[in-house]
Amino acid sequence: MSTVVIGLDGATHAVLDPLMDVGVMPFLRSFCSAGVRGDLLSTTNPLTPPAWTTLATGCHPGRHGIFDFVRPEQAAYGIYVKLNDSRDVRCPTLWDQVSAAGLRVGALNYPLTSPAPRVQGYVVPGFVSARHLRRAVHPPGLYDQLAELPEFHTHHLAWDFDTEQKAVQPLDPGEHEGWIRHHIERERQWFTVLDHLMQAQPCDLTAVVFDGVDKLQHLAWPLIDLDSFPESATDEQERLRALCLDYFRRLDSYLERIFERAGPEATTLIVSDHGFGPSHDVFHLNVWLRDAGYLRWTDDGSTAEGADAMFATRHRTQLFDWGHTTAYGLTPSSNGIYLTARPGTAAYDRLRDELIEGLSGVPLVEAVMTREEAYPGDQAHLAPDLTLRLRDQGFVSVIDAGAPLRRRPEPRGMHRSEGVVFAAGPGIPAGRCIDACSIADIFPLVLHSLGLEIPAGLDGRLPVQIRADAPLTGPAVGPVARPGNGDGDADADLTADEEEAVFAQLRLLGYME
Amino acid sequence: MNQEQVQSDVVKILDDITYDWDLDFDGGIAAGTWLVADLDFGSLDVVELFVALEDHFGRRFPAQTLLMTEDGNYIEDLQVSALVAFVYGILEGEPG
Repeated sequence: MSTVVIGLDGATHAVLDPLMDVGVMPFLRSFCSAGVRGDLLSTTNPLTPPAWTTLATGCHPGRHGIFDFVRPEQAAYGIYVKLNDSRDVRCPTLWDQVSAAGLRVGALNYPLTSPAPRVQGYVVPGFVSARHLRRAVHPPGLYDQLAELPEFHTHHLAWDFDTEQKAVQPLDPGEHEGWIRHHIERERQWFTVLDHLMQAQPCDLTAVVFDGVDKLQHLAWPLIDLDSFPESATDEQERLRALCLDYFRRLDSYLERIFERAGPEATTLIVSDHGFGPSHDVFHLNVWLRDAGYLRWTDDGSTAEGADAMFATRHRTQLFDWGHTTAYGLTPSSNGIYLTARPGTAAYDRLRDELIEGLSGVPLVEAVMTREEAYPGDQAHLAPDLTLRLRDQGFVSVIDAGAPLRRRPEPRGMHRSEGVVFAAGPGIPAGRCIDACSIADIFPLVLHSLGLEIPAGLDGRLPVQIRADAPLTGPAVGPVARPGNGDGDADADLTADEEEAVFAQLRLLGYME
Repeated sequence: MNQEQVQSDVVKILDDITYDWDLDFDGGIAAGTWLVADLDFGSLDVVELFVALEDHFGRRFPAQTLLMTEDGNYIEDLQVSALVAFVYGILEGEPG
C-alpha cells in the first residue's frame, strides 16, 4: 500500500482537457477513465506557498501561517523582509505525520520543505538555489549520489531566482523559446531524480511537484490556451506553441512512467495548487491608494526599477513617504494591503472600513476581505490587514503608473482558485467526475490511502467522493509537534507594538544587494 | 563556548557552504574575509548562511539587527569577524 502525489503547479482543466482531446496527453486521458477527476479549490489567495502548504498540512493559511513567499519582520531601524521557509509552517506536515507513523516519505521539489525535515526517507526541497541544494537535501550524502546520475545538472534542477523572476515580469521578444526549453529540461531533471529514487529508495509516500506548468502558463498563456491563440498566428507563434505542446507531451510521459513505477496497488493523485486563466487588466493598487490619499511615494520610490518583482533583491528603501502613508501594498503576490494604524484601535477600524468601501467601487475588485474573514485562525495576525480578490483573480501591481487601471496589450496567464485533482487506485471509483473539493482535503486523503488515522482538528475533510471505503487498519498517527523556533523566533515576537512599528516604517523589499 | 570556538564553527560552515562554488578567492576563510567581496555572497546566500548557523547553534538569530543600518538600509558587506561577534553575542545573551 503506497501513495504517490504528483503536483502540477498551476494545472487547470481549461488547459489539460484540450490537450487530452488533441492527443498531447494520452496517459492523463486514460488516467481519468481509471479514476476520478474534479476541481480542487485553492486557498483564499490562490498562490503557490500558501496553497501547497495547505495541501501538506490539511490546514488553511490562517492556521499554518504561510501567506506569501516573504514575510515582513521588524528590525530596530526598519522592516526586514524574509523568505518563508519550512520552519515558518505552524502545523504538522504530511512529511512529519507519515514519517512519525513509521512509514517512509520521499518529497521532491515541494515549496517550504527547506530546511528539510528529518524524515524517514528523503527530501529534495524546492525553492533552493543551485549553490545551496547540496546542503539542503536530506539525508546528508544523498545529493552526492544524485550528482552521479547521467546528465544530472544542479543548475537545471535547482531554482534560479533570476530566471524565475521572469514569471512575474514581461519577457523580451525572443526570450520565450529559452524560457520554455529551460522548463522542459528542468522537469526532465526532476523526473530523472524521482525515477531513480523510486527504484533505489521506495517510499510509502512519494510526492513531487513539477512547477513548469505554472511558469509556462504565466508567460506563454496565449500560446497554450486555445481561446487566446491568435487565429492568424505567425510562424513563430506556431513554432512556440509546438514547443509548449512538447512540454506537456513530455510531462504526460513522466506521469505515465511514475504511475507504472508505483504499480497497480498504489494510490496515485495528480493535483494542482491553483488553476489558471487569462488576465486582461491590471489594477495598480498603490496608485489607487495614492490617488485616494492613503499613500505617498518618495521621489525615488515611485520609479524603483523592478518593484513588481516577486523575488526582488534590490535595495528599496524609502519607497514610501511614511509621514503621508497609512496604507500600502507590499507584494503583488499577496494581493494584500497593510495599514499603519494599530489593530484594535478606532483609527484602524475606521481606516479599514474606509478602504473596504472605497475599493468596493473599483470595477476590477470583486471582494475586499479583512484578515479575520480571509484567514481565520491563530496565525491571522501575520496576514495583510486586507486581502483583495480581483474579478479575474489576477495579482495587483504595486508599482507606480499613470492610472490605477490599465488594459494589458495581450492577456497574461494568472492564477485561479479552481485547480485540478485526479485520483486512481484501490477503493477509488473509475471514470467519475466529482464535485469540487478543497486543497485541504488532500492531506486526510493521503493519510487514509496509507491506512493512517486522520488527526482531529484539520480544516480538510476526507473527500468521500474519492474514498468512502475501508476501515482504517494502520497505525494511529499521534500528535506531531512542529520543531521549536528558538529564542530568536521573530514571528513570535511580532507583537502588536512591534506591528505598529513594522507597518509605520516598512520601506524596503530586498535583502543585501 | 568562547568566541574562538564560535569563529571556528562559523568558518567551518562557510567552508562547507562555499566549497563547490567557483570562486576566485584563494585564501582560507578567516576573520578578515568579506562575504560579498571575497566570497561572492548574494542576498539568498545570506539567507542560507543564517539557516545553517541556526541549525548548527540550535536557535534563531535576528539577522536583521546585523544586516540593517540605522537609516533602514542594508549593509554593503559583512566581515567574518563581525558575524562571529554577532553570533557570539547572541549566544552569550546579548539582545539582538
